[in-house]
Amino acid sequence: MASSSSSSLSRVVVKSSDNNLFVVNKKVASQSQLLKQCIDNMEEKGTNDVILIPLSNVTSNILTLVLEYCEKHADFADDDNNNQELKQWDHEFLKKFDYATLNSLTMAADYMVTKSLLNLCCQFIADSIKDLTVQQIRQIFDIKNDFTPQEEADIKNENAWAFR
Amino acid sequence: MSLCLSACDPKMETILKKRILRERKRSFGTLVEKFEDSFSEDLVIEILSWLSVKNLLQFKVVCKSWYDIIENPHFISKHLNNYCSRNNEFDGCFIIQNTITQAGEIDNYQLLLNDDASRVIADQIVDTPVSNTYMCGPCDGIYYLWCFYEEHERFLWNPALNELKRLPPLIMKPNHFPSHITLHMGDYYGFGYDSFTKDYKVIIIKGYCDSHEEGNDLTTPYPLSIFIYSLRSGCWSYMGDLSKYYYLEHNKCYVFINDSVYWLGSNEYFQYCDVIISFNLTTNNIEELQPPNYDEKVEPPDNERLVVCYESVGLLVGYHKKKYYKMWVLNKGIWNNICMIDLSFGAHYYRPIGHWKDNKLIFQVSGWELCLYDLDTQEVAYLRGYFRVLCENICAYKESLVSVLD
Repeated sequence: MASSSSSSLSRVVVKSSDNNLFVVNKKVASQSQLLKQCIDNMEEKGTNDVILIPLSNVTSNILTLVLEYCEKHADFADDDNNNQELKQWDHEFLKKFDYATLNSLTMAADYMVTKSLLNLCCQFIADSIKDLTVQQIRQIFDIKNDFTPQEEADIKNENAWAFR
Repeated sequence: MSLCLSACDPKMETILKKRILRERKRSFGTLVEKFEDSFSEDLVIEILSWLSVKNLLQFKVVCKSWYDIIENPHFISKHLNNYCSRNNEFDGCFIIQNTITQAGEIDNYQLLLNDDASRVIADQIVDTPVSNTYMCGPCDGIYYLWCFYEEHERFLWNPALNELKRLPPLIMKPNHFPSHITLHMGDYYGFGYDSFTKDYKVIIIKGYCDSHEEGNDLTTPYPLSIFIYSLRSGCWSYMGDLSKYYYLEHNKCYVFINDSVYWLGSNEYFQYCDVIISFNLTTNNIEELQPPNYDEKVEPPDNERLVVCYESVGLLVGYHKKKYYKMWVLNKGIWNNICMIDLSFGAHYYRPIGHWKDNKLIFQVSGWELCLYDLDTQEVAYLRGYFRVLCENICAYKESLVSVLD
């Protein structure tokens, strides 16, 4: 396009850990602080080549989901944050994933510095573990109890009313 | 084989539904073996910061590293920003203080509203750790309690942590008056957070009485003094005096917003507001502000109350005969009349009790019913299902991990 400024990129290419390429427009990519930082750096250098950003920690399956989220949120970027439609979409978006996916998605959101997606995932996980017993928590987080029985009893005693 | 719920009586039905739900939870725990890739400690912190206080107290026993995370001050402030400010399961909850006897005894009820805040779906007695205490707050889940009977004791209370701290006795003003001049027994108080020193502070305004005079509960017109209690230092300090004596009505005139505490004062007993006293917790600056310029001779107000309105201090001025209220908001030192609250549709008299949250005001209608007014939508909701005696005060219910003990 003749009107677009020569030093400004309109699209970037993101490469997943399993070597798939995704063409992403700048507004969508900017939802991730990691991608935004890469774009800003390249723009400062004044390059007009399409840049390639490799993400060695994110598989294509998960990257597809992160980009789906970024795309939706980029559409609403100019609206106020409390948009009910977007909240509803967020909820439906997360609801369909199993734990393995949620696990990887959370880590990808953290790695790609997509703060709102990270918060959303963490809230969702917190909501789904809140009714579990301590034993179940240890199991799903694969944690070994390193308290002695006496120590465990003492802590339970201190907070006895919370265990009612 | 599936259970046929409709064949059971309603009580049984509820029990069965609960049982099915419990079964689902149990199977959930075994279905999900574990998270394949273990989360880094930073991510565990992020996840835990969205859990309720009760959950976190339970999950302290999971392992040593979780225990350390939950006790860590940085985690506590992250939790305040995340769980406590958003997505809180106590979003629809507030505490109402009722006067139940002529002597001024108080009971406290916690009310839970439905999703659109139009109905009380549950209410329960709040057992304050000390009976007959006026309550103010919360500030980060902490309440200040003042017991006006007998010893006039003062406390800080975090109900979610079940923690109570008794404050030391109030000090005297240094080099004060002759010995027959003593502190008046009434307290005007406020509670807030100093964001500069990151400290919670109780502010007390005190008048004086003269023991030589008849009836030593009468105040003498010495200027009021301001004292501060700092949670961090555990001590009281004297902060200075106002320019003169004012009548303040305790418990009805306090608001904390944007680092400052505000009270309503008047020159004469039971008179219109003549002054708004403010104390800034970060600068320790005392101000005596002019109230808005409404002409009380032409249109005398019947009721005035400080509220928080659009993140600023607001003054709600009521005119009972005409059944409306005017809302004034202080913005950069200037009072603006931002709206009129029209309550003329009912035959009743609406007494303002206070503000709850998000620009929601609570009134008590003359038939003891509570009424919630939303400043944004201008909608009035009668909180059906709740009738009590004279309601004195309202506090939001908030939880936090912020400890009031050392």
